[in-house]
Amino acid sequence: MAVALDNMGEDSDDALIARVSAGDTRAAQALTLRLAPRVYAHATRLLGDAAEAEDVTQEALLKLWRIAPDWQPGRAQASTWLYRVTANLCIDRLRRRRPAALDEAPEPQDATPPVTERLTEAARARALDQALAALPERQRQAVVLKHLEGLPTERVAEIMDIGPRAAESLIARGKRALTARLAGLRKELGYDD
Amino acid sequence: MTTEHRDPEDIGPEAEAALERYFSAGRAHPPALSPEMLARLTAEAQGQARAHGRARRPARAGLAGLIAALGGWPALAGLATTAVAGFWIGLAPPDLLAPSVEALWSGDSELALYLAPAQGLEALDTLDGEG
Repeated sequence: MAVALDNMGEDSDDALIARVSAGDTRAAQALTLRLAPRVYAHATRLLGDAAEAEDVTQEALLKLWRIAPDWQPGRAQASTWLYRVTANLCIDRLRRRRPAALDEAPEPQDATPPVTERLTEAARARALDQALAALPERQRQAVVLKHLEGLPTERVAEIMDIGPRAAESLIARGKRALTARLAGLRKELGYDD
Repeated sequence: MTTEHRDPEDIGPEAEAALERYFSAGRAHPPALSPEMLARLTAEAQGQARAHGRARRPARAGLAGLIAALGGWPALAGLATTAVAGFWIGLAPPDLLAPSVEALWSGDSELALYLAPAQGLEALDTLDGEG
């Protein structure tokens, strides 16, 4: 997410973390406004569950505040670190859900749109979330980071702690599976695009 | 006739474009954090920042440390007032206290010890009369 919702848009994450560790509550607020929506969106897309995503967001940010005094500026981007922590927390939760629900697409929860209704943007986003939920977790994480968070493949690889080629392969396989799943959903839901 | 792709994982330009429409919609409609949750997270972050600030503040040494240990300047002002009042009472005891204080200073303190506080003044008067 490129938009800074805080009023300290000029300050780097590193600078704000240093100020948080010195007791600056305004920096804590600015950093929360900047990072929390990103963490929550990522967690929601990986988990497909808003309540669990809120818990993960709270946990991930708490970890950041706790390590703030030991944070080494320039060593890692705060967002990279947070994506990794968020993904690990999500994967832990997904694994605890096993074997019942892993890789099962949730049933459509929203009202089914009329037959042959063209997909609105919001409906298309919902269909995508549904299709993403059917992907294996690593493919889902790679596709979300690359195509929804808009990160370059190198950063996807860094966050996932794999090589760039492995990241590319995960993204490609994820996209192929998504295409197939979305085609199925279009037929299921009666969309014509 | 379909185009043949070298990479078996490549989905082709048409599917790629179709998928991009979904991604674009997804980017435009990210899952949104509720204002209540955001407020809770902000309060938690500020609490953590305050805790870091307190942990980082060094213990003050010397006179400043002593003053802080006593409760700061307001407490010190109260302490000074009490000390001055005590000193003044010592120098010029009020009439009510005069006989018992004199008895103590005159070495008759043993007598004062036998007197119940409420009866002290009457008892001293009686003894004076007898003497």
